[in-house]
Amino acid sequence: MIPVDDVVSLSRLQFGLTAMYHFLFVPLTLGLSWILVIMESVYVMTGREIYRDMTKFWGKLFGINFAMGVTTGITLEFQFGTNWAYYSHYVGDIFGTPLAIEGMMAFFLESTFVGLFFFGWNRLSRVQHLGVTFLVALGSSLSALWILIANGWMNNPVGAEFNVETMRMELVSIADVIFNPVAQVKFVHTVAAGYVTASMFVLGVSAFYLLKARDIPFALRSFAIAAGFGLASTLSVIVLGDESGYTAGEVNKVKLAAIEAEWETEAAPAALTVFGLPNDAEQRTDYAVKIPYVLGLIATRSTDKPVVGIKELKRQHEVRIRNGMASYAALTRLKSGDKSPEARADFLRLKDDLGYGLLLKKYTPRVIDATEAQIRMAVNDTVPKVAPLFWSFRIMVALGMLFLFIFSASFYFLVRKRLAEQRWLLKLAVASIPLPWVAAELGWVVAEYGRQPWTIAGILPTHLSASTLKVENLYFSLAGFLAFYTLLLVVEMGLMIKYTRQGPSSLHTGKYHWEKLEAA
Amino acid sequence: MRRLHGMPLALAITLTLVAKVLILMALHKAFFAEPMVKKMRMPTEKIEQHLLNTTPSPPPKAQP
Repeated sequence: MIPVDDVVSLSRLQFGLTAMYHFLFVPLTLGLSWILVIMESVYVMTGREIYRDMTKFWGKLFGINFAMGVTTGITLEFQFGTNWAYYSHYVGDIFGTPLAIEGMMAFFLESTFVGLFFFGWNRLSRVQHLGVTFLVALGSSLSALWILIANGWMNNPVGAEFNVETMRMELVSIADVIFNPVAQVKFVHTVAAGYVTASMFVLGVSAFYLLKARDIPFALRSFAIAAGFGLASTLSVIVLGDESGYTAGEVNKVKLAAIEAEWETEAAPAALTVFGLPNDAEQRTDYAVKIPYVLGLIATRSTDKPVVGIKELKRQHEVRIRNGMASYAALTRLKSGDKSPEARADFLRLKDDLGYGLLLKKYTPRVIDATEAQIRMAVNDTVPKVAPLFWSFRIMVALGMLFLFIFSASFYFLVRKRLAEQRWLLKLAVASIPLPWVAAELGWVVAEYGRQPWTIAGILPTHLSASTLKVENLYFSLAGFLAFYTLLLVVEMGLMIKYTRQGPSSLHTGKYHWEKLEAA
Repeated sequence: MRRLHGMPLALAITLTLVAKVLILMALHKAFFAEPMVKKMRMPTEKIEQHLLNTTPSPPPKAQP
């Protein structure tokens, strides 16, 4: 067996950790920018100064987060070229366009208008400034769109063909890449999760002011906007999550089966396992608690289509691996100078299974001579470990339900004008501030770990995507990134806590709590 | 850190941004200045060596 050395594991760890750190900053930027649009729109419509103060105060927290978060994603691009050279070559023709557009969106649209947002208050008219705030929000969401189009393509590589001459995937249809159903669902689900994160942040901080009985009109209005926007966003996340489940059922059957610990193909419509203890070694779920029909309805939108189980998927993968070996042999012949139409036809017939053949490279340099034992190991690799996916997904969904409860209860008591009595709800809102980040990170674990063993689903295995590097370099760069991101996070937390404690008094208008106390 | 928090926000953010750019440049120079792939493209021979056998062999039988 060829050991898949630590380079692949360390490169994965480095990319995963930097992406997760990066995504601590992103959701707040995505959501808070739209909350600022709502607050400023009310200011423009009513002319009431309190809404201008709200926009400025929450804008200040947005600015801290934006400043700390900007360029944290660039480290991922460093890693593409150095740690993931083979992957970069394979996807370069497809990723070039979305990443370039994302760069334009992030640096020109978003950053320019963020500057105008902060320095334009006394230079622009109310409507012009609202336009700037709107463009900040639009720029944030659009830059996320292009990254998620690239990520969606990794899960469902449409609109591209493998070119034998260049040995890489090449773009055939940019429209197919942009309108890839996986990318579209991923985009709306991710930005809606960002809206939930920001809503919980504003709701929790406002609840803190209400508990302390300070700046109540300011806090109540902020709370109301967060409750309304948060409720709509949480409902969107749930509906879009359901759509995401359906899309996974269509194109990522392995991921769906692993998330649901669906070992066997059940008679349609499949039951949903709400709870259980997935046992990867024995390929079964112990103590499973199931709800009849629900998984079938979610994943297939029907009562007569089955959800294919892991064991059956593995049987299908074995066939594809054997076809992949033939495809690999045909490609080897082509690349060795055999230009005959038969060699080309052999390859074209089975080229969709080439990636499955490449899975064997983890165990043997001579794919075409792989033993039965090596084929069995490669088959087992085609399904990620079930337990991490099963639990990550369920914790994420449970948190989503908690958010729905908090926003619904907040909205209800606000409308009934009974919020002040519900101190338990205010305390729960404060305690829940970090939870949307937990849910979002778990969502990424489900998305990315669930795609394993592939970097590009069905096409390029992860172990063949990494560069040839020295382990020491990876350890040092990983340590450097950890120190860098931790420092940023500490600075962000420190500044956020400082300005949250000051509240709207940090605007120095003389109208709010601390300044009134000082004046008294 | 305490000093940073005692500063006006604009100054704290400016200093953090400057520090961030310097750290990123240092990390890039130390670990990422010589990527194996330039402009997301490698010599095709290198990819062939990485993915394929160099000697052709007869194909095994495909399954339906």
